[in-house]
Amino acid sequence: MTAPVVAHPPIRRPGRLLNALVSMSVRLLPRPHRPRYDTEWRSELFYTALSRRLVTALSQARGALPLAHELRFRPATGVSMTKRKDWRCVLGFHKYVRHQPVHMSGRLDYWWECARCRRFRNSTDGNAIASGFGSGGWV
Amino acid sequence: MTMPTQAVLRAFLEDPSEARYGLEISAATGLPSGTIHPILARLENVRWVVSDWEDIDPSREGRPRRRYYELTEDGIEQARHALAVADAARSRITLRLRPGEAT
Repeated sequence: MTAPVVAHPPIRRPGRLLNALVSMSVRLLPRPHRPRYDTEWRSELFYTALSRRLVTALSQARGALPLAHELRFRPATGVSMTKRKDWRCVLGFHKYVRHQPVHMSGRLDYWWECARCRRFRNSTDGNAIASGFGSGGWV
Repeated sequence: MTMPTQAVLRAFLEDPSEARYGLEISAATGLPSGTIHPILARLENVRWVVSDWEDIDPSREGRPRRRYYELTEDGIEQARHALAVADAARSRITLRLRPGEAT
């Protein structure tokens, strides 16, 4: 993908403190997505004005946890994902998490997915979910 | 849909065919980088947005690659619809709170 690049000649590479901040933030993300965001965030710092770099790095650190939450179920591009079934899922103790896309306004437009094995359950199959312990469910 | 998500979609819809990088979206919306990336990840999850690396050789150019984000065909349509719904809801609330503005 190519797009016109705005010319902001960088003066200096991000320093050690900023690089350390990015490294720490990236560690909060799921492992397959780390290389992508590591490059992307360092690149952002590179193009940011010197006076704004620390604020940007802190903002990235603050956004790392919500980002990790969004990335939980998405396989990283270019990384082969091995299918691994957790022993708790083999025993039937799934950990269901609710998914609701941003564009869906209705309260019932969601589905459930196991955070460990990605087993899918429709929102209409709520009985089994509701009867489980805490956020998990019996299947 | 949250206001930051709406702001990001509005920034994309200013010129839907144009690919934008994170800092550019951040500048257009006034939102910090830490707010932008979770939103972009969510939009990528629902296939409204696709992203790819800038096609350059960093060692030759002397600068790192940027990650560009672009609305998909479906994303453009869905985003327009979602923003229209959000705008309609906001105007309804405004009318309820300030009925005088209706005239």
